[in-house]
Amino acid sequence: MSNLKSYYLVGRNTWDETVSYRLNFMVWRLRVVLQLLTTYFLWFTILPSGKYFAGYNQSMMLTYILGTAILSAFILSTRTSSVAEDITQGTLSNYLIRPLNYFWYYFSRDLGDKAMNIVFSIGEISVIVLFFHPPFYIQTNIIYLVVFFISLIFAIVLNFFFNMILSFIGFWSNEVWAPRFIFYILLTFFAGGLFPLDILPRPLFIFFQLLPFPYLLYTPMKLYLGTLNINQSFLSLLIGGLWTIGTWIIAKHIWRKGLKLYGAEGK
Amino acid sequence: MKKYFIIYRHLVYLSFSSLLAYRINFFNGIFASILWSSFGLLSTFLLTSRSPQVFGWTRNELLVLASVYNIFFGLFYLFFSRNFAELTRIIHFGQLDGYLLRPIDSQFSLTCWYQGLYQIARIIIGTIFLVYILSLMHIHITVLHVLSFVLFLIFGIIILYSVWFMVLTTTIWFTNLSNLVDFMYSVNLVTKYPQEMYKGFSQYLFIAIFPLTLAIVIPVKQLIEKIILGDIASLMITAILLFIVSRKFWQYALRFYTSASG
Repeated sequence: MSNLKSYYLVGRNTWDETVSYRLNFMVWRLRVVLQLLTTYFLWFTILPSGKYFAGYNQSMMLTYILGTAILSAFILSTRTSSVAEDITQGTLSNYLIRPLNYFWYYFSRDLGDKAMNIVFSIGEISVIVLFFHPPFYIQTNIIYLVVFFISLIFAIVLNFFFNMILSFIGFWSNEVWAPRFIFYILLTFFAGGLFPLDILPRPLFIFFQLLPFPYLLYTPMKLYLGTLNINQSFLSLLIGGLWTIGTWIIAKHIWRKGLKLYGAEGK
Repeated sequence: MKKYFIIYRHLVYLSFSSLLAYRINFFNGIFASILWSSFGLLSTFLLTSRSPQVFGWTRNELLVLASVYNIFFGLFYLFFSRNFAELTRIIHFGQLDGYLLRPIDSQFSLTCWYQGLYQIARIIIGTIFLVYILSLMHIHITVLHVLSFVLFLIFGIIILYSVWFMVLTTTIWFTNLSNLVDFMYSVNLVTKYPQEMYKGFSQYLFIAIFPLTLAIVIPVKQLIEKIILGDIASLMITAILLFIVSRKFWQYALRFYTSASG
């Protein structure tokens, strides 16, 4: 129980940390809104009312874009970039001697960050809905909502372990920026944040379904929209679940290997 | 002026030496640049795969825009973006004094010190794809074409440089704005699409971002032979005005610099 309280306080501190510099925080939120609006304008202009693009009409596409914007805030936000700094600067030692699990510590930080992101993203998108009146589909089918919720949990955990694995590169190299940036580029395109992946040519789309990236944004959004049948939904959950377990195992393995090399020298 | 050329030559040499010292970083940067520019082109390809025209532009014209976008931002990130990121850090930690005391112009010193040489990969990919698309469009490229394209590109970069510089100068008053550089990277996205996308949506929004919409679109219009005199005048006048204003704003802002770290 006391451990749970500790992790709750870690999450709460992360929230407080983020909003402590209010102007800086507002600039960051403005950036998020600007990116969203650019993508929104793009699809609004490409897909006028009544037209179709790869099976999507304007309403479906804009719901997808706004929906993935909310999901991005929740799923992709992370504090795990600090893990690499902890390793390369030697401050990891402070955490190793504390009576807390390093993974759970950073997961708590992530949850604090996600809580803040989701609150403000919902607010921002509400303002956009108020001004521009985009069509937004509200799912009411319980089954789709349940599978959506499960896929959301998988996506959050999958993203967490992905980022931890990237940060553990710090055990072997001081230069972690470049692999993280490459991961960010791959994520931007392959997670389905910019466009639904099923507009890609079919062979490419089937190939991407085997990669973990679509299970971060595209699959949860499609499950929410209810555009996958029951078999496809459960297959998506199964593959997403397998990727989540797989990255957990890899992260644990790399962590153990990395700790053997860790010398706490610092930069 | 000669002094600045000599200094800049030395700075490029130092950047190159630094690259050779951190080779993995260099190759990672090249790989990231290749990925980023390839995906940019792929997105445009996808968006135009089911529609012959988007925003009144044909597919090939949008691919030209995407290629020029890569060249444009390859150049901007090569010469300036790292310096702008450093600028906010220098001001925040009260280190600007050292730069102000140098016997060279402070704006040059702060915005031209470092070069991101791995961006050359992005410029090369953009150029290769541009030449390919222009050949598909049967557009005959002459020396005059190339020279005027380069000139308009330079004016476009001046617009973006001036906007970035003016916005980041505000960190003299608001030293904790570490997210401002990331915000400006998002602003860069605005230049990726034709003016028609914003015009069609909101006239007010279009007016607000008008200078940025000129930066890449005018050089592209010159290449695809759709440019008019009004476009050239708009680009040049906007670039010159914005540069003068950004410089005046910087000199004004320096009066408020207190040299205390944030």
